[in-house]
Amino acid sequence: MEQKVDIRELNERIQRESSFVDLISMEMNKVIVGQKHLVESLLIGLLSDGHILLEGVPGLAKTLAINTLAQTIDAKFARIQFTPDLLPADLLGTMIYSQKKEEFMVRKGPIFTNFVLADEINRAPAKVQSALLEAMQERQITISDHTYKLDRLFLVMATQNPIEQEGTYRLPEAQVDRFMLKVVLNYPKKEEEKLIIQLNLLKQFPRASAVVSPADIVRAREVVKEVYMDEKIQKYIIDIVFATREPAEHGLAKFKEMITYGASPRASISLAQASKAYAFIKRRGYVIPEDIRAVCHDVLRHRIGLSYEAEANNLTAEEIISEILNTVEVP
Amino acid sequence: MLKLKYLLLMLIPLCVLNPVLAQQVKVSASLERDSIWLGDQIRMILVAEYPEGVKLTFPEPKDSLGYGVEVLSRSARDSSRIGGGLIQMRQSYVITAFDSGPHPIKPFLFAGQANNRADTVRSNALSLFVKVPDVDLKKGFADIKKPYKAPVTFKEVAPWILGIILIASIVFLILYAINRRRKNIPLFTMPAKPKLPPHVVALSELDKLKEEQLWQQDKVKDYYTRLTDIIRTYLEERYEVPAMEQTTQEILSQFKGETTQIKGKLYSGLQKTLDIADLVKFAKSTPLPDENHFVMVHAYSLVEETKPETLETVKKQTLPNTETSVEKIISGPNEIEKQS
Repeated sequence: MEQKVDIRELNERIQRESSFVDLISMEMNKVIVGQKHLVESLLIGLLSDGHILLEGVPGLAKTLAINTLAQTIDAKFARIQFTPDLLPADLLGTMIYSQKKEEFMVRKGPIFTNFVLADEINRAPAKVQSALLEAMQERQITISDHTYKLDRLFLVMATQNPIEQEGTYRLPEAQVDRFMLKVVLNYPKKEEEKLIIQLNLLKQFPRASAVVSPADIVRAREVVKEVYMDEKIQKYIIDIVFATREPAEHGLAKFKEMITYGASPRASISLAQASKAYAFIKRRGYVIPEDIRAVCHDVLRHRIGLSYEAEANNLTAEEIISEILNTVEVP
Repeated sequence: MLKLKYLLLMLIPLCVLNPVLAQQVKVSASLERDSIWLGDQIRMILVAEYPEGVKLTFPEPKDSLGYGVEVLSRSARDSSRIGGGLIQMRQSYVITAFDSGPHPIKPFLFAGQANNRADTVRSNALSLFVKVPDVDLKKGFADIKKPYKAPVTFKEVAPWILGIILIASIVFLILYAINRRRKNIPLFTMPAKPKLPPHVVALSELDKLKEEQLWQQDKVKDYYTRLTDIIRTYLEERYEVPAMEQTTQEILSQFKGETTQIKGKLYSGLQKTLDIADLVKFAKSTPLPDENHFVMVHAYSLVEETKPETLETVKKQTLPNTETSVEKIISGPNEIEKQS
C-alpha cells in the first residue's frame, strides 16, 4: 500500500514538534546522572504509547527517572510497590460504603494517573499482575458496574529485580508481550558514579522543571504516527521477526534448538512503532535501518523463548538478537 | 526237437560274428592306486575304445560296487576321436571303502551293437586293498582329536566384506542425505564456477546498471537500490566486511580513518552516495540528475581505485591514464568501446 506523504513537509513539522525532546532530555540529565539509554527508552515509550519493563538491580534511579519524567511533563505520577499480599482492588480501586450518604462510592486506585511505576511487579500474585496488564492493554478500568477511561497519557514502567527470584511470581509470556520495551539497566560508569556521590554528599539535588504539557505529548504522538516507513523497512522488520521464528530458514540453523518460540506479531508492531518514535527523537520524518537496530534489542529480548539447551549453553536472548541483526540483510 | 534245431540255426551266425565285434571294441577299468587308507577316496576310470559305427552302452554302476566299495560321485562321460576311425569314451568314479582288507571289483559289462549285431564286452577285474593304520595298544587310548580348523580363504570372506562395504555405503549415504537436508543443502550440487574477482563483477554490474538507464525512466529508487547493493557487495567481497548486513553508519565507521584504502575523496564520496541512497530508498527523496550522475561516477572510481595492487600495476602498464578512463566510461557506452 503506497503511502502518500510529503517527506519535506513532514521533516519540517517534526523539527518543530520534536523541539521538546531536547528540553526533556536536558531536564532529565540535570537530575539523573548517566542512564542515557533509560531516558531514551522512556521517551520512546512515551511517544509510541507503549509500556516499559525495566530490569535492573536496586539503586539504578528507576523511580527517580520516571518521577523526573512526570515532573518535566507536568503529569501525575504514582509508585506502587508490588507485594505478595497486594490485591487488585489496592491497584484499581474499589467501592466503599459511605455511612454519611448511605451509599456505595467509588474510590479510585493509584493506577488513575499518567505515569505508574509498578515496582517489583513479579512480587505480586498473578491476579494483581493480570489486573495491571489488562488496564495497560484496555486503557480502561471497570469497578463494579462502571467503566472508567484512563488518561490518554498513560505510561506504565514496571520493574523486575534479576537477582532475587525467591518468592516471586514470574510474569507469563503472554503478559510480558504487552510491554513494548524491556530495558536492561546497567551500573553507571566510574565518572558517573563519582558525580552521584558528590551530589549526594553536597545534598544538592537539582529539580526538574515542567517544560512540556501532557497535551503536547499527545499531539507529538500523532506526529510520530505519521513518520514515514518505507516498504523496505517494513520488510526488514518482518525478516528480523521471522528470523526469531524460523532461524534455520534465515541461515541461523544453530538457533533452531535454542528458541522455543519466536516473537509475536505484536513484536512486529512494537518494532515499527518504537522505530518511528526513535526516528522522531532523532528529528527525522522517516525511518532508516539504524532506527530498527537501535530499538530491536529492547523490543525483542522479552519476546524470545529460550530452550533449556540455550540456558545450558549460557546463550542469552541478547546474543540471539545480535546474531540475527548480523545475518539479516539490511535494505 | 524241431524247435531246438531252429534255435541252433539262429545262434550259429551269432557265434561266428560276435568275436569280430569284441575284437574291435576295447574296454578297460583302472584305479589310481591299488590300496587306500580306510575311508580314503580314490578315482576309478572306465575307458572304452570302439569303431565309429558301433553303438556302445556304458555300464551304470549303482552306489555300491559290492564287497564294501561305495561310489561317492561320478563324472560326465567324455568322448573323443582318437584316429583310425575309433572313438574313446571315458568316465571316472570316486569310490571309497570302510572295511579293511582286499576288496575285489567285478569286471564291468559294456553292451555293443553294430549293423543289427549285438555283443557284450567285459573289462578287466580290479582289486582294491584297504589299509588300516597300525595302532600301538601299549600306549593306551588317546583323546579324540578335535577337527582341524581349515584356514579361511578369501573366497569365503569376500561376500562378507562386500556386504559390509555395501551396508556401510548405504548407511553413509542416508546419513549424508539427512545431514545435507538439515543444512538445507541439495544432495547433489554442481561444481562451483570459478569466482570472478569482486572488482570485475562490480564493474560489470555497474555497466549493466548504466545501460538500463533506470533513473532516466523515473525508476530512481530501483537505481539507488541496485547501485548501493553493487557497492556493498563489492566492499563485502573486497574487504571481507559484512556490508550487506550493515547500515550506512556501520559501513562508514568500518572505513573511517586514514589507514584504510577508502579515504579522502573516496570516503566522502562513499558517504555522500550512501546518504543520498538512504534518502531515496527510505524517504522518497528525488535527487537531482547531477547527483544521480555523481553516484555512478563515484561508484566506478571506488571500484577502480581500490582494486588489488597487482591488477592495478598491470592496468597502469597497459592503460597509463587511469583517471580519464573512468570519466570516459561514465560518459557513454561508445566511449567504453573506444577505450577497450
